[in-house]
Amino acid sequence: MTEEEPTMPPGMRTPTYKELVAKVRTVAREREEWAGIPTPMGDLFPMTIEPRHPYRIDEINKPQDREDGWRTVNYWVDKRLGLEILIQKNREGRARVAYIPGGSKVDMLLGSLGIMDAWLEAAENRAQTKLWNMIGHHRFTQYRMIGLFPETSKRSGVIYIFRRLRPTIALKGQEGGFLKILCTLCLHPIGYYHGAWGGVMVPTDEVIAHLTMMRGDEHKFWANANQHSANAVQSGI
Amino acid sequence: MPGKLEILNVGDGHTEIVVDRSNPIELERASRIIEDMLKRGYALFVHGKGDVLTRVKRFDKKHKAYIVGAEATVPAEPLEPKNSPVVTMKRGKFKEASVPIESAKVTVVGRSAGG
Repeated sequence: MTEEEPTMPPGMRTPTYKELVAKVRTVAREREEWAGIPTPMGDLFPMTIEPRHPYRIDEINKPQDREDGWRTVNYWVDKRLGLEILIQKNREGRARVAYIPGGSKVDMLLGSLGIMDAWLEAAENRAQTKLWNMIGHHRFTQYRMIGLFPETSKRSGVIYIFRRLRPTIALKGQEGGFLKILCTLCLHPIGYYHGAWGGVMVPTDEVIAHLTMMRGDEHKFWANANQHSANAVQSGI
Repeated sequence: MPGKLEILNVGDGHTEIVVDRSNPIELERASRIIEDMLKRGYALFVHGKGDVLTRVKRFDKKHKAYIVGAEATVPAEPLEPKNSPVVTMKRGKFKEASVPIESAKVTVVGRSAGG
């Protein structure tokens, strides 16, 4: 005997993602979740949520097995060959090597389109207003026009390029007026979606988080962020 | 001017909580929220003069004040000396200062999930 598929009661319909996000927001307010509750985006974009969050669901945080049973256990980039190299294992413990020429940059871009429904436009507008107050009109115009703006740390002299939907680039001045990329710093407050550039917060809120951490506790910003080399796909350069 | 907490939030952009000393219920609620957030590992940053940010080390529930490191630029702008004097304490070789919650603007960043 097969299980009957659940059906919607008459007169009801499946909510859209926007309605779902708005509902989750209301629930978060009622339950006094100050940083909000992330909205799951289905199997295609599994989430990683910070470990102390009360709505951290283990299933969401588990690495997803591919349909064919192969799971990536190690990964690196070969600069010389321009390849991403993946070591994968299946359920029986057999290992294989997979090569991705050109990397998964396009996947990350398309993934970012896929998770866009998790964000509300009103939230992004509010975040942009706050950012404008923090960086002033000129740099906010840079951010609005080209999606990035610079700021030099008074403490360390490191030049940071804050970018929308990409990790922050850390640069250091060299002799002769050259700039050296130290690394890119990837940090998502509360959580992020796999296979996309975005986190659970709207893109500008993540930029504000990076900027706030850098200004207020630069040491911890470096300690908490994942440091990607400039040639890694995750660096977004 | 009352104090303000701006909490970066998943659904709202950021949530604003106004802290007004004339409203004891709101003050108590804000105090509870701040304690809860610090317990969960959120990072709280007090806005100071010239928009310099200083991270909150801990919260003084009795005096309803943020404790920040005085070795950093202690926020001077949001403080109102008549009602809320800066209390400086010596802890080993580091000094600390307290900033009353009803006179400070604070931005809160949730705990990082990495990236």
